[in-house]
Amino acid sequence: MNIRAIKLRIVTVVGEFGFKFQFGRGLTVIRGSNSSGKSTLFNCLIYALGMDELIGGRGEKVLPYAVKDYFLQGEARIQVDVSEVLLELENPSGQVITLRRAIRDTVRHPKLVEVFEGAHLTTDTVLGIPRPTYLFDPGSAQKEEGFFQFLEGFLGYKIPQVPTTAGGMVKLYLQTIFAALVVEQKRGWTDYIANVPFFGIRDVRIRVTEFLLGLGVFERQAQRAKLDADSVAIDSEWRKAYDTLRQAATTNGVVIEGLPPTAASEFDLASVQLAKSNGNTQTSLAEHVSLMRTEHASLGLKAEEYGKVSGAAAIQELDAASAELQRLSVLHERATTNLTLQKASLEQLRQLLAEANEDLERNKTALKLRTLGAQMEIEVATDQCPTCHQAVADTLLLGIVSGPQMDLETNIEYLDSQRRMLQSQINGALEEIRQSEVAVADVATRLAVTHDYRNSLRGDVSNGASESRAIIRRQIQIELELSNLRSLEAQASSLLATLGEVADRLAANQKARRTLPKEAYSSEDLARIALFEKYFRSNASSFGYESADINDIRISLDTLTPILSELELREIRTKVQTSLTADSSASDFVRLIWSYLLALYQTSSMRGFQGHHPGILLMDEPGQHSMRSTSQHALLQLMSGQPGLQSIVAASFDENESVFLEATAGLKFDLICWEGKVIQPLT
Amino acid sequence: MAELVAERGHLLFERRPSPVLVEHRPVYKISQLLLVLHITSRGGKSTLPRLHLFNWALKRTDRIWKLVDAAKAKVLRITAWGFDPALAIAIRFAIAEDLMQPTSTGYQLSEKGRNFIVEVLKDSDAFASERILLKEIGKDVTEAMVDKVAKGWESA
Repeated sequence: MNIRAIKLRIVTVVGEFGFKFQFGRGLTVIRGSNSSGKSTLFNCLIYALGMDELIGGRGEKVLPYAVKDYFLQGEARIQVDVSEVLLELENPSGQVITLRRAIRDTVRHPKLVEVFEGAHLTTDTVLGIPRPTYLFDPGSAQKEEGFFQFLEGFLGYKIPQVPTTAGGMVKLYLQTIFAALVVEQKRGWTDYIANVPFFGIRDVRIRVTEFLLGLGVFERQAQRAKLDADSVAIDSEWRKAYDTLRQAATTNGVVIEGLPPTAASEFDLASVQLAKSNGNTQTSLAEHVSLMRTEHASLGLKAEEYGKVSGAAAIQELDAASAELQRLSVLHERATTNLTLQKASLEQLRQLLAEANEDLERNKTALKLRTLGAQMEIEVATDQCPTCHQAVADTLLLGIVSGPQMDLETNIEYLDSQRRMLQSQINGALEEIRQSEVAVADVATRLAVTHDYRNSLRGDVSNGASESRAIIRRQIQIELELSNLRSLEAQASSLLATLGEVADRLAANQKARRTLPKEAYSSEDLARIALFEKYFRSNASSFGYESADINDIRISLDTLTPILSELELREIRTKVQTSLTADSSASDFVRLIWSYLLALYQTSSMRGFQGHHPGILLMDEPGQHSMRSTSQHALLQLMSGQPGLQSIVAASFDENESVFLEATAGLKFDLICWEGKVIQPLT
Repeated sequence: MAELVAERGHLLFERRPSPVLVEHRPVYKISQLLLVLHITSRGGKSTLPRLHLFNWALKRTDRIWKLVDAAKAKVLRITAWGFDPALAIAIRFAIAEDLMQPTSTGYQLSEKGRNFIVEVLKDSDAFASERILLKEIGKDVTEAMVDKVAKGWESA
């Protein structure tokens, strides 16, 4: 992106005031002494970009009074009636637009940013019909009419979603990215990427750096999120099919064997069996059906012969039915007892689990206490006797208990594994109970059926009818059950097919997951970070960093910030280094910030890397803490020498002509400077 | 088994470390002790039998509930409680660490002890359930109530 020009327009009763400046495509130096309005110009630039949050606020209140209340013109105090700022931008594909944002206006709100096509400031193109966009309202980064949505499109960005501290996902706001491009004077020089507005994004500095360097993490994150969403869907589909099947089976008194309740990728359809259970033994469904058929057929034969059968035979049949009834009663009794026992043991397991959990919590507390105690110099917390400073064991009853004892970490692991074991035992017990319940219900139905049969037989014997009601009744029951089982089988086979498909999808999902790299950064990413490190070091050395040996500085893979022996480099105040005065360490930290921000661009613009740096860098007063002019020169030199980088640097150069000349000697740059105050009558 | 011995010629047993009750970890017990002095004792002071009473009560939830009831009724209806040697050792450690000091009648929380327990309580997960119940008891299980029960032991 390129900032081509800016114009501030202030309407007063005595005419129009303000300023209008054009920026070069490379380095532009804004030179102004301390109260001349240099920061007014710089902040107007930020305001026009809608980045007010970088200077700590929203709306016109971040701007000085001179552009919204009154300003001094010589001795006269002039009231501001209406003021606005215009900014001309060009994007990488050559499209030029002009932004207009009101500062003080009776009609237009500061939240409104009007977008005009064409270059109004540099070529006097007439302002056409604006496209209104809005700032700060919820959705300004998401909705079509939001300004940041517009700017994102204008920059050609596709901004990724990033995790928040609250656990959700949110867009990496454009303002957070601009925090690495725009450094204002007051708080901007306190961190590598300072002034990041708060949006609750987790590790926002790291995310911004990753985005600007064009690392592949976001892509992989998106892939992972998609796989996660997929597996949630897989799981719920599996559960749905599983529950339907189980419910259907339970109503028919059928047990399902070999079907896991949660999705499993290695799932063998053939291993799933439908069976009838009587609490002790199981018969497969096919066998059960064939038994029923045989019974049905033999009943048919009996019915034909019924008229010829003697009373003795009928009584024999009645006895057989009574015996069967008794057998079933015993089975039912046993199955019920078994179920009660299983339920009791489940209860016991749950109790044990609760205890294990509580114990685990207490042990974790003990671990925290140890850490805290060690911090507060309590010696037993580090296994030392407070009196004689010799080693003591981590137990109070050492003399009483013999043999080695677990230390706290091992103890916690041990309890945790116990807890997991209990949990899986509970799951197993639940499954057993489900099966037993089916068996009990099934035996109960058979009991009722046999009971009916026997009663009908009794009736047959007493009234001597020519047709047996008992046989017919039983036959009808068998037919009904057979038809129910048939429809269950049909349903089961279609559900199992669905489950098979789901299992295949899960396998595919797991396979895709395995191909994702385990580490946060791929080898390509690591190459980029290594290059970033190289640039950073080389920048730091040309800026004259000397608080530490530059070769010892690394870019941390955890924070993507420079570290020296695992410590993030900030303002180091080392006492031993006598050659450095105390504040040179502070200025040395500023050198690191320069190196960092510049290295971000250098790495991003490396050919074939396709980082996302938009190629602008705005710095207000980079020469903090009485920076040596040679260092300032090195910074300006590097900036002006970067192809494709537009840099705008506002500085006072200690209000000293020789410092300015030294810092800019031999450099190619555009200069913006003025006499007196920056707000002057517009011609 | 016999075949294994015959094949190898000998069997080697390796003793694995056994788990330790969390109560027997010095820092845990000391912290529990400080917690009792801090939350339920006037001026951070308590006699030894009273400390043992709380220590005994903190071992089981039903016992600590009895103390909650006692605090409300202002009468202690527990006839006897256990004296735990682990507590005695923990007290010795705590005194050596200068977390508490012996007084003429019992023990008192020291400045360092108070700082430590205040620091511990900043983590809301530490002693989560104990903390709630002890706060409910407050300072209402008094020395006098404990004394009254203890006197009964001597006459018996």
